[in-house]
Amino acid sequence: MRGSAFRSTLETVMRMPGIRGALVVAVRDGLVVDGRVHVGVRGAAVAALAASLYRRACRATGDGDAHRRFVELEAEQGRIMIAGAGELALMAVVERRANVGQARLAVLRAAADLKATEEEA
Amino acid sequence: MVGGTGRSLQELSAEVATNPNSTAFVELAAAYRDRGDLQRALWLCLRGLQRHPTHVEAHFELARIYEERGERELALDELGIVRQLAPDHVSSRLALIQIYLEEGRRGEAERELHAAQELAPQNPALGRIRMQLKASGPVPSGGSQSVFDVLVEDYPGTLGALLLDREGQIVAGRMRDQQAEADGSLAANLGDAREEANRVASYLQLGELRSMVVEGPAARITVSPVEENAIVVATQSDVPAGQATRVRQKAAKLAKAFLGSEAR
Repeated sequence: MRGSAFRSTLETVMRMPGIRGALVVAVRDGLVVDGRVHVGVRGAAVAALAASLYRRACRATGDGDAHRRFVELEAEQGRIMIAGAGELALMAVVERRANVGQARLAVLRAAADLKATEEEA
Repeated sequence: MVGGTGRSLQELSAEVATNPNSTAFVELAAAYRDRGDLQRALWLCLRGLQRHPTHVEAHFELARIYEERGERELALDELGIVRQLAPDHVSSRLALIQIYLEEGRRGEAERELHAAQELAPQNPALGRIRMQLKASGPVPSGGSQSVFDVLVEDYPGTLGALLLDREGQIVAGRMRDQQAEADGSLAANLGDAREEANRVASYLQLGELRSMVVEGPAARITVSPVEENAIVVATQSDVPAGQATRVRQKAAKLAKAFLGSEAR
């Protein structure tokens, strides 16, 4: 997974302290388009499930798929953030120690970059 | 011949056309509504209300038009205006009760029924409504429809809350400005999403799921566990995240209290 149009976006997210993985996922089928994960993070394995969760979240909030959505799961040992607007979403695995506000901003910015890259393509 | 005064459509049309200040537009709108021409009826009422904004029967007629167009929330708004302008307007109370019953908002239907009974105890329609209410079962203790209403009142921007059981069925609560069917659909989608969220957290070895937040263009929805159930809280998306968290905490307290009273 190297040299894709999303490399710079993913590297920016991964530079944030406490982010253990970032994946660009196709919302429709959950396939991983590109990603960076720390050793031991089974990101690719949950991408399809995360995409399905994201699709359900889109349905629950209505207004079509083209609008920006942000989904955050908070668990005992960390968080998962998924943001997107269109066919691609960015999923990040966030450690418990991370600054939640900064991580959220980074994921939202990355999702906006994805949308822009998607439109350019 | 049409309407309450028995005038023909032509006579009413002529009066409205020649005298813009006439209130015959209400009767004319009712005539068009009876004929199924809801668009013309709506236009007449809206235009007439510009000149007669406090005309009670015009607001009532507009409510009936909206209801026939399937725009229930707008109909409820108009009936609310009638109630404010003329608290003793029994027909509008009956119309309110009917809409509440159709939407499954039994607590509100009961409150309106009590008010209508005081206004017109002999009205034969009230007996039929009492039968309908009785047939749909008792109102849950504590009034499940209003268990979270205090959130909407205390925290501006709160859209409502739902308490869901393990199967994703609504136990209590409702979303503001939304029909019961839409609440059910939201609950079903979030119930499934919650299961998937649990699996995602489990695959990534993140431990037990504490909450799920979904933000869209219009709303932020939070789902968090309360005992074996889940509480869903919706706020407008422009409500600060910190305030949304306080609403969620308060909703969880209310849900626990509600579940405690149910258990007793």
